[in-house]
Amino acid sequence: MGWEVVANAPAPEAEPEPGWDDREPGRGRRLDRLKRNPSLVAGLAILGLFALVGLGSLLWWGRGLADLPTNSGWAFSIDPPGPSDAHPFGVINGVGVDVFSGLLRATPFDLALVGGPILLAALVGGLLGTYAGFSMGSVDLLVTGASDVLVGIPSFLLIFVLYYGVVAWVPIPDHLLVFGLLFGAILWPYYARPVRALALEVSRERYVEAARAAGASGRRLVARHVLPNSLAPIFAQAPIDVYTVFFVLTVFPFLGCFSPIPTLSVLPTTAFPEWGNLLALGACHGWSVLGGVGFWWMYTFPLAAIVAFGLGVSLLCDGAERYVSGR
Amino acid sequence: MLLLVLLLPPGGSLPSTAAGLAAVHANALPTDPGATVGWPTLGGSQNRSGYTPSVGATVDQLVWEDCLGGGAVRTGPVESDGAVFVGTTSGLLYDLDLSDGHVDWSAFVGPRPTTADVSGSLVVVGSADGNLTALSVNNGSVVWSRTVPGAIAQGIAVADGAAYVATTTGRVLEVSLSNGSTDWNVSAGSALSGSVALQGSSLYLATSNGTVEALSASSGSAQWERPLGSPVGSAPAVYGDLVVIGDGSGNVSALSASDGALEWRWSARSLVPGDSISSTPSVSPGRVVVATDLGEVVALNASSGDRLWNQSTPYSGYPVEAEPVTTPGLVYAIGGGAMLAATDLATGAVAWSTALDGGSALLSAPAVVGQVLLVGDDAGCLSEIGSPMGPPAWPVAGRVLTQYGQPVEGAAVSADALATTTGPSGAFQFELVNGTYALSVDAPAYQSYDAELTVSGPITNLSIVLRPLPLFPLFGSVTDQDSGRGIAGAVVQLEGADGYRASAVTDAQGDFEILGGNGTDTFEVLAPSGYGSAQATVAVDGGAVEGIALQVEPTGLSIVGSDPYRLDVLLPIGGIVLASVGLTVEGLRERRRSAGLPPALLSRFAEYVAMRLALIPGEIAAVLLLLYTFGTFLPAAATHENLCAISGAGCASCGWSSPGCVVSAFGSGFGTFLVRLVTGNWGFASYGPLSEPAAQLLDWWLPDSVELALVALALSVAIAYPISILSSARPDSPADVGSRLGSTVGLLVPSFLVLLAVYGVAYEGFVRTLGDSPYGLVPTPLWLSDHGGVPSWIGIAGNTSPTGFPLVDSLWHGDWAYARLTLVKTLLQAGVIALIYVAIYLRHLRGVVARALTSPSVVAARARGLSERTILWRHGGRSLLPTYLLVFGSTIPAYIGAQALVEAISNDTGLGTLLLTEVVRAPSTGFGFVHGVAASGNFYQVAIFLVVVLVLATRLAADVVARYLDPRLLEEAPR
Repeated sequence: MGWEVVANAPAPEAEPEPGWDDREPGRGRRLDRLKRNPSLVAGLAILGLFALVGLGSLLWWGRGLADLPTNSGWAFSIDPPGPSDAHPFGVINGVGVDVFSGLLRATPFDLALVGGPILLAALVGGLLGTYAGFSMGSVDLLVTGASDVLVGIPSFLLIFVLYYGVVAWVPIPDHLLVFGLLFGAILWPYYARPVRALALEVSRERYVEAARAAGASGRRLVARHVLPNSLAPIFAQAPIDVYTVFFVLTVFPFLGCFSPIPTLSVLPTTAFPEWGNLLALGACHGWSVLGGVGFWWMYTFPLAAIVAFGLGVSLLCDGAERYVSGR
Repeated sequence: MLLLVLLLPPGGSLPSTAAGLAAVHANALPTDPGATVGWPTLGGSQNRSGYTPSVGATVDQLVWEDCLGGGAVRTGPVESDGAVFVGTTSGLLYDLDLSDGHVDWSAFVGPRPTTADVSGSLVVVGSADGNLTALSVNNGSVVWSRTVPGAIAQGIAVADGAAYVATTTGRVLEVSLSNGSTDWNVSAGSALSGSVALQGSSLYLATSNGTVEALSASSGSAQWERPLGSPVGSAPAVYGDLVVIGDGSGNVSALSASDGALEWRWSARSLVPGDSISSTPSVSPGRVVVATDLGEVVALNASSGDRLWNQSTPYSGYPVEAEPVTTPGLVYAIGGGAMLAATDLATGAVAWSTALDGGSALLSAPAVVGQVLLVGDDAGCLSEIGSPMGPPAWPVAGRVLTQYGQPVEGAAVSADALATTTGPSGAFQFELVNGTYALSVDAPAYQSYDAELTVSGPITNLSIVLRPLPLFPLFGSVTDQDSGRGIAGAVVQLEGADGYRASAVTDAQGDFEILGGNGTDTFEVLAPSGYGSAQATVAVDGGAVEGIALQVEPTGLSIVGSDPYRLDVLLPIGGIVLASVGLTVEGLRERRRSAGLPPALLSRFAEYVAMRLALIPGEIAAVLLLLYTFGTFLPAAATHENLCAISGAGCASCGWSSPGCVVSAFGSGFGTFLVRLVTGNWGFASYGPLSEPAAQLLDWWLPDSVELALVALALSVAIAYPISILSSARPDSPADVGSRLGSTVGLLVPSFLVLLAVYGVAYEGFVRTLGDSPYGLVPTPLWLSDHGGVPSWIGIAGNTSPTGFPLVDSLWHGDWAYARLTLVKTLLQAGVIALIYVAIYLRHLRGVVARALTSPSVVAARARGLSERTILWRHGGRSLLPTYLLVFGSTIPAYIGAQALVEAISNDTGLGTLLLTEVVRAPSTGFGFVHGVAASGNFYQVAIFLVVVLVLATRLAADVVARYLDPRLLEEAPR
């Protein structure tokens, strides 16, 4: 009989079923998505390298990480050594520091000073924005009001207003930590506002209604449905904030060099290992408007570190956005 | 003017010309610290001041040159009693005769000897291997020799039978001069590259990492220390109560010798970017002269640090390590390029200059003895320059005293063209050749003294007694020009014809009493808060004067006038107006409801605008609260326990323990803050040497920023618009990827590097075609003098009249050269701002434009068959305008940052420069608007507040216009 043959036929290979969650179908397995996403891989690779270097520096120098040695012989040299065997990236005169050693030591500090506020702001801003967009009550009013006030003052000015106020009450070793925390406290509205706008739209989507009808609690709705789909603006904003933080770290130490404005730095010492600070020092001592390129190694290598880091964050965020949205 | 009669011993005579008090004080010669004849040690005297009262070489005539043939002369020669001692890098110390340069003896003292020190019959010298040797002056035999740990830095100080040595390993030793045994040996804390300076009973030194220390000469115990923050490569110079030092960041710092407090600081980088100082500055009465590494020789006022003149010499590629030598008439300095120049101390005019042999410029400091100058060079030759065969110069010294025998410090004493100032003991000294001189002594608060002085031998005990000016009480008041009310607490300064100065403060009624002398006295009122300054002249003729009226004009944006009490009237009136508006609106709505219509009075657009406007006061209040709390209250409260003192609150207990007082102090301080903000009482703002009421500086410089912003924004739009359309029309095309990558990199390359690169490329061409540098206050004094001086329509701060916009004003006055210069500078700066801002703008625009291009109207246009080009540029562009406006509104803070940075680094006039200067100065000048602190508090919170107002206004305008153009935006989730 025909049906017996049919009953013995092997079952056709089943397509992987779309999950019960609300993401778009046809996403495929995780590894495949990774392979189709070169920017994510590149971003992870670059930042992973920085993280490794940072960890290595931290382990190698331990407590003496911030004590970048200054050599007055180099400081007064009008012919400072450029890239060579002894100094792979050359030396900055004026303060007398070795660029390679400075950049290595600076890696953990910069990862913390730039990555820290951004992560903090993204976390706080993302959560607050999602909740505000979803619940739209007094929480929304509070979040919107606070965001509007903070966004009204340019962040590179607001950071100093807050810093001067808080730092007077805090002992000197904690000043850098205060700076990082305050910057995170300034940057969160730039994440909260677009996330809130998106969360507002997402909350009105059909699948959220359906989940609510199925009896999901508010918290579950936010956590499983609204939050994952509102995070895209975070990836757009993070690379911009890398610029914002480096603007403050790089520009203010440099100001005193070419104009009567005194130098202002949130760092404890002049030759503190931090990419922006080293860049400012290098540009100050290495660049001469009259002398052309001058001592190019003093500012090129710190600049390369900053640009590489920013590129890594940018690639990672672009790739992460694609990954999360399933493109 | 009274002439005094002086009786002198043989050797000099002064004619007696009129009656008066005569006093001959036969005291021993009280020399000012460091004013010795001869040049026995590094810097001429133990305090390294580089100052000698000798005449010096007035002509650049070579007297003799002796080439020693034993390596280069890297350390300076010293002289005592006709014997010159100098070392060469081969390790030999030579004794030459001052008159003809022949060598009396030479001795090996160790590799690379330091500058020697001659004391009595011993000459002491150190070397790079730590040898310290004392030789007999007569024949060079070694009296004793010992080693110290490390190389000896620069030179040795000797006093009272002891020698003081600094080593490069950071140790300071006192060594007995008789046998070289160590008296004490202390650590300076870190490496030393300069010698110690000795004055009185204190040693002064600077460590390589920039800490200036004072030690007791008897025991080596530390007296004070002051970190400078930059590395130092030379010894400090001490004169009187001033310790002066130069550092690797190009700063000259003057500290108090008694406690190390910073008196003033001057930056060489204000002249030449990137400059540094490797030599000791030379300090003399009233002057500090410094030679910088890039070849500038600069004279500064010793009490204020203001630059008097500077001389540019070529930069040879080597740092300048030689300390300048100052005499009462000339300054001798080694500049870049092996140039030895003699410059007039008062005017900066070059008397003579010469290039020395030897090739490199690593020359040792010159020494001045009598009328000759000794200098060594890299070829190992020692040269004597000057006119030794002239008539002998005698020391002429004396003291200036009051009629009670007290010394007069700071009196200006001049003998013909030579001038000096008396020190703390009232003493002065010249070296004069035989002849007759016009001696003149002037001191503030005293009548001037003139006499003829005939010199034919040494004079050691001139005594000049000055009579004080008779002073009379002068009464007056400082009043408000408009209201006539007296102003309390205003500072009134008086300057008399003789340089006499006095000051007084007005009482609660605005009255003051001040003492002034005969003649024309000038009064000046220092601008009290909220007012300008005023001046008046009064002729005093032997009696008191009453009724001097000084009227000051209120300044600033006084919305309610200078009288804050009128706020009492404004607030109730404002409240009544708001209430009546509310009642009217409610009445209108009620009528609509009763007629059956929906109660909304306004269209959705008007409602949106009204809502945004209504929110503004709340936003501004929140921003002000933030600025006050973090900017004023918290920093002030951290350093002052007494909250009432910082806020005028007036509680029973003014500490933190009483919460009621904390609230009251906060509120009272906030109230003062608001009142001062609204009444334009914004204190003083300063930039470099310029210091003006803040509202005034803002009024002058705001138009410059506006002009630059208009050009920069136009340029940015012109660049960003086509790029954004092209890249979002074809996502992931090379144009899109390129613009994305480019905007990321452009964001991360710091704007100042871009700016410097642009300036570097433009520099040559700019100077050649326009005769000015591409940065700096427009235009530079050099350019102005080439174009016939400063035009009358350009003010002291670079502000122009009549409109205040430099381009417009220059065209108005027909000054095409100035207009061309300003236009090119503005375009350069606008170009850099545009580069930075376009990167930011494109980054924000990404995605937004792509979404807008999928809107139904664009899809419909495609369906109708319009070409892609028409859709993109005409159709799409129009519908994209609201989007561009919205993005502009949200990126305006970043734009302000970019423009502020470009203005500040270009040293240009503008709000951005003012803003960044004030933010950076805030910690050092104190936080303004604190009760009880003179309202010369700084401007930084006002500046930030103005920026916030600008941001809010721009955002509001952009949002409103966008919604007018595209009403669909009104339906979307708000903001």
